[in-house]
Amino acid sequence: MQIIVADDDAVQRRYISIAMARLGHDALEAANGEEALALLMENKARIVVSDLDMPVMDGLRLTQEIRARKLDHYVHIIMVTGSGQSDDHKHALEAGVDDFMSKPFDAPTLRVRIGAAARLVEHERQMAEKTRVLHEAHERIRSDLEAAARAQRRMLPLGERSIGDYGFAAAFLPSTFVSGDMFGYFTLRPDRIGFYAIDVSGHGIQAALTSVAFGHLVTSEYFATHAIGADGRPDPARLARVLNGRFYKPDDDSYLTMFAGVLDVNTGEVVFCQAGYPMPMLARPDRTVTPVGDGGFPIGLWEKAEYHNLRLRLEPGERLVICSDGAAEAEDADGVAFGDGRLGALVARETARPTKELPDTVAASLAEWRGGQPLADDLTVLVLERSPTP
Amino acid sequence: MITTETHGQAICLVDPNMPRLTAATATAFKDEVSGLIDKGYDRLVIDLAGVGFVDSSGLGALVGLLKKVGNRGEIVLCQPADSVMQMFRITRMDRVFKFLPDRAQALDALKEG
Repeated sequence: MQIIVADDDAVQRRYISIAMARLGHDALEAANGEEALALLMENKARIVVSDLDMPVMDGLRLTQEIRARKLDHYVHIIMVTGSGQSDDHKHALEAGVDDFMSKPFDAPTLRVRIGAAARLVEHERQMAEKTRVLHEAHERIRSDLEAAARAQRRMLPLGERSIGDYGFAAAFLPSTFVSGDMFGYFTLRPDRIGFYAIDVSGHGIQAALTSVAFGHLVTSEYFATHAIGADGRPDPARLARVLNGRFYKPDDDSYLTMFAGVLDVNTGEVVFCQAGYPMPMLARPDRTVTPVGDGGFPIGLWEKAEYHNLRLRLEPGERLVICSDGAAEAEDADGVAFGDGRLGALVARETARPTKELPDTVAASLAEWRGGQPLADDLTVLVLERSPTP
Repeated sequence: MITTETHGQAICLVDPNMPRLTAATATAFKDEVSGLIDKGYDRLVIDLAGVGFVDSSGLGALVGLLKKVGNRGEIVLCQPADSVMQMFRITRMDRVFKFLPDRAQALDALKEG
């Protein structure tokens, strides 16, 4: 181990250096604090044995200079003091000195003091190595998760889109990198639009694996095949039934909730199936907001689940606002949930403003409710609007 | 940690002892109750009266227990707060679980059954 020996007395310095060499260390000699500091900057020394009284820069200044440099490793400083200098110990400790040796010193004392310092330096080196390895692992995981989050976002039809007289807008906020939520919409035939939103139970990576698998499974072809009956009529309950068969596992507690609908673009009629997903809100231009649906079995939770369709008509200027449970369940600092009431009032207040702004407005209101704390659950806001009659 | 009160060889009353059954607590809760079922207590009363919030993971854990007791056993839930009951209604699990107002009635139902 490299050890810097700073002493203006060449004989004393030599004596210490030889003792260090006998202990298997590599002594670097300095005639004053300034030289010692220069050596410290150029070498990997972690231990400094310094005389207190030296010309140019004394031991106390040297200590202060070393501590002020905020090096990425710790330097263990042993101060050599003459007899009767014990009053200086307090100042030296304040400056950052770790240990003291009194002159005249003998080889055995020197050996145990240097041995103790070497143990501390070695311990610090091992800790730094562990920290470095942990930091590297953390960075690798974080960059993986960020890549996964980007990949997941690319699957989603984010932003604002129009299909004829109908417009979609969405916000998607994972609680941690990736989300157990997923949504999508597609033109099924020239006069039909299919849409869905899901929320996998729990959150985090496990939920996200399921939500992404769902997103890849439920393509527009899959949706068209299963959400339209043999007679050509919309039947999203059938889709729910097929998905329940696919996602149900006897030995697994995870499941997902879904809201799926098929819209007839000519009439504005929506045939929908609510599979445990929170009730969407139907918002009218007169600022009335009514919940939609009457509940239903989630997907993959109960083998014998039954599913049914309900209908609503989306009139010109009306909106269907679909929010995952991350919205109503968002809690403030006192644990009070945002709740359906506040969510409905917010949607009512925003009816006069453009649809494309609503998802971000909901997200911003929830962020404010959380008082800056990140959301504890994934959030999806999907809005479907029928354009007002010109 | 749940607290339990056994009644005979197969019936056990379970108090989850937690104000919230969520992603943070659901796995531990399910593991503890699963242990009881493994010991032969497959007729369970789970008192949800003190549980103020159940999230999707909490519901998953309860249904997981119901799947575990299967046809051999039975689970009766003591009526939770209305906000929690709403979770069961919206997912239709109010039709799958049996709910009774209090422990005494729930235990009686199991002893008769």
